[in-house]
Amino acid sequence: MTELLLVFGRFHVVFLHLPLGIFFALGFVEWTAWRKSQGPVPRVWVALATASALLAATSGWLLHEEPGRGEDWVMEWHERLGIAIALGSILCLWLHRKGKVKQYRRTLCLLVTALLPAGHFGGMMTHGDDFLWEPLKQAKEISADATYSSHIAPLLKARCVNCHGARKQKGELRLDTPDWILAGGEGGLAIEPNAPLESELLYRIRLPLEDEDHMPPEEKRQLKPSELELLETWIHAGASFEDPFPWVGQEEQTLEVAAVEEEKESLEPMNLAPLKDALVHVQPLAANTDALWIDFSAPCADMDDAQVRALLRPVLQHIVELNLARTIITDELMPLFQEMPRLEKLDLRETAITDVGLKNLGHHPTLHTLNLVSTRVTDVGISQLKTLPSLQKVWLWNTACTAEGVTSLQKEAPQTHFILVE
Amino acid sequence: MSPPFPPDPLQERELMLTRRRFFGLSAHSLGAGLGAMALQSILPKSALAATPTLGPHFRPKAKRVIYMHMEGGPSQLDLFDYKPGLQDYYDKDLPESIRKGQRLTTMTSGQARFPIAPSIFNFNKYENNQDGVWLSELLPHTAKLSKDMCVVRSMHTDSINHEPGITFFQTGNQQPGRPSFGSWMSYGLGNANANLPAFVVLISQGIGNMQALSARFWGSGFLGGEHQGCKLRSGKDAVLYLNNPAGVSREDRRRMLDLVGELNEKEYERSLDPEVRTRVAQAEMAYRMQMSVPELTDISTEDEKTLAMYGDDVHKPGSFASNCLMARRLAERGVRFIQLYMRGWDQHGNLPKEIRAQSKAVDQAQSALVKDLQRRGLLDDTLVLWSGEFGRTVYSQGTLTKTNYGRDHHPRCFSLWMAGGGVNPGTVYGATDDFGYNITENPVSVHDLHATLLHCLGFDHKNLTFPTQGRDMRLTDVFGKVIPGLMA
Ligand code: HEC
Repeated sequence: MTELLLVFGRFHVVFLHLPLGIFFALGFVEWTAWRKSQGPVPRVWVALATASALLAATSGWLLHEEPGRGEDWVMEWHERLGIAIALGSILCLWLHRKGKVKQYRRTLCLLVTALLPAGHFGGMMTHGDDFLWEPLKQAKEISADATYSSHIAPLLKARCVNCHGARKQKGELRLDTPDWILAGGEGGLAIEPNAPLESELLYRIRLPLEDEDHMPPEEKRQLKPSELELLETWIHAGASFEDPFPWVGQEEQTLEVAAVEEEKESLEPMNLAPLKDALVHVQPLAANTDALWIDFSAPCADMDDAQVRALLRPVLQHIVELNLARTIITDELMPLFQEMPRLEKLDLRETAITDVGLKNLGHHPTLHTLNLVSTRVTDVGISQLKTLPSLQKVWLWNTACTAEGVTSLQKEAPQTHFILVE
Repeated sequence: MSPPFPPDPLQERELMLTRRRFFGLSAHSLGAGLGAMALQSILPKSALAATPTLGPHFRPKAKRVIYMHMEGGPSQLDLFDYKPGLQDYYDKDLPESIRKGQRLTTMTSGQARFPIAPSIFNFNKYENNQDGVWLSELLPHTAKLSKDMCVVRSMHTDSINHEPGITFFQTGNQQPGRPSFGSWMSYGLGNANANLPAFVVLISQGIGNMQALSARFWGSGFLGGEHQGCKLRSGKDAVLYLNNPAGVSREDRRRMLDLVGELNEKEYERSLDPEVRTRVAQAEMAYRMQMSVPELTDISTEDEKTLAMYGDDVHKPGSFASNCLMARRLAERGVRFIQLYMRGWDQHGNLPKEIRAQSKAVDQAQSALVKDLQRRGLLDDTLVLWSGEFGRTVYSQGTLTKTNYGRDHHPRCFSLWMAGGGVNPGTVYGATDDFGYNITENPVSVHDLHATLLHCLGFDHKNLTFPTQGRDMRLTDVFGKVIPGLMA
């Protein structure tokens, strides 16, 4: 029996269209009749409208009773309005019957007006908050840069601030103002500027839906992939609360996500198997990412350039941290690093690398940490590193570099920290 | 994320077998693909040895840990927590308003008086990234790290005795049996060097009163034997019985292991006992360690200057200095969790004399270790932790004189320091009252410390779990919060 009721409840999505159509038609007919000073329509039409409203309301109410249906204000108001309209339609019928034409028409007018928000809230629940306005917004977004106040704050407000705001601070976290966002919560900092992979906030959103730490909690409206991407882009660009950050808008962004997802699929397990079989250490840098940390240093010291190259070739796109310390690689391998578009950390400690090899690092766009400890590089060699736009740290202990050489280079490239401890 | 409880035994068996087949396949393809490589000879034929690893939740700041545990409980009052005001309280009774009926060990609970013993050691102020840090004259070398270390003065623990205290620090629980921190790391991150265990333990004998160190401090509990800490001994045989017996060649060994491996595989398929897998993994690890350990312990390649940094003791196998050097060598070789124990900080009596000798034994070497990691660019992703299991009382145990006193165990507050990957450098965190007895600012529990360290290592402490006994177990049990103030 209850199953039948549940099925009846699900018919809500069919029934709801009846009162919409009938009431609007009724409203239109009564409006023209009123203009022409004619009498009301026959009662059967009003009775039909009332029946359809009751059908929609009861089925909707049953649908809401199903376990697992969440609670939020949209749902709440949709339900309240629906019930009010059903009751109002009974009133309408009664007034019609009593011949109180004026009151009957006024009530009808009210009902038709109430149907607008009720229908809109219903639509929001099935299609998402800004289903209606999305095309307009997209047009705006594609050209413009985004800022915290134009894009991030509204998103957090819509999805998170209910539980992380002035009223409630779940996990001791508030996401409604910049200061609170920076303060973090019970578990520490929520965002790490420039480091999406280290930010708890993104980590939580990316957790599988079933995980109890997933945000927003399972029963709540979830972030769209493009919204997650938006947060990621913002944090990657430094999580500034004032400066704009580049954001190309939803459509293109979603395509990119899809592309990354496809890559991810091709990554496991085919391409990693040869590395793992050769006992090279391979590890994703975080959960749900295709960014890899690869470490040859310890057990694979005796692999030569050709072997290293063959093993890395299939995963070049994914390498973010690479450790080749204490291996027998030579300058010959250096051009390969140019083919790793995401490489950030490179450890060449205790290898036969020389100035000749360094030349090949060229203008690598993302490399930010370089370890050259105990190699044969010299002042001349490291002066070529000036051209690396993202370089932050270079370790130079136990090389042929001199204190004077390093100091003068330091002046020319102040954004990089050259470290030559003695 | 965790599997449902209780698992259906039939399904479980099915799963185990397919998993095993999977490893079996990859082991085969490896023989074919890398035939030319010298590696092949050391690779196991048996499929059981491999275990999948989890990987970090978010991008880690630190990739490995060097944890120097000072067994016995070093006196924070003579090393880190400067209380100049106590000089005026010499031999006066500790006010009851401070002690508040706090439980004591039976070693001093019978004492008629609790006379305050100010430290006889001088403190100096060193520059850090805040307004300076006061450190004792006992640690002149460590003081050179003032701009790198984060000194925590507001640690507290639940335990008042050594065994439960160390167990709590290592495993997050006072009762023995849970996996220790290193085992969680091995389980969570796996090994970056397949030829050495992920979790290595080195022990140095101290000078003063020493307590037993049980092997269960580095046990892996329910995580399985392959995540257990491997103790390296000092002296000729770093690992006992690692070498082949006379007359057995390495090839013989390989053949023997392969054959035993096949038998074990059959046994595993029959019983699905995880211990069988552990056993195979350990035998394979031991086989590879026959090559890697002699290379590890051969320090003839170290240059004189480096050795001198660590101090003269570095030539004495098993000394703290020698173990610090070994820690650096292990870190370079990708070992995840390097646990150094220094015994002998349990100074119930004769504290001034003993702590002087004890500090001398560690000071230069621990400072050298941090500096050595730093110049090699390794400190950035190595988390260094220095701590005892609790602190010591401000009142004297036994007779108090101007030059001699003892101190009993004190869990309500103590100090530790950290440096390296993810740690807020050159800072002091937390504070205690004028008697160094209670915490007045920013308390840090052992669970909080664990949660914070795990965070630096890329783990959400609430999500690094292992299902056993009907629930998802964690290092931090159901406690702990990450402390942002400790992190860079
Ligand atoms: C229905 C309420 C609810 C909503 C909506 C919600 N959260 Fe949460 N959030 C919680 C609860 C409850 C916790 C604490 C539970 C825990 O620590 O696991 C929490 C914890 C967190 C934490 C960890 C805080 C800490 O330091 O421990 C983060 C980060 C977080 N939420 C981010 C978000 C983000 C981002 C959103 C929006 C996309 C969001 N939450 C939406 C209820 C909510």
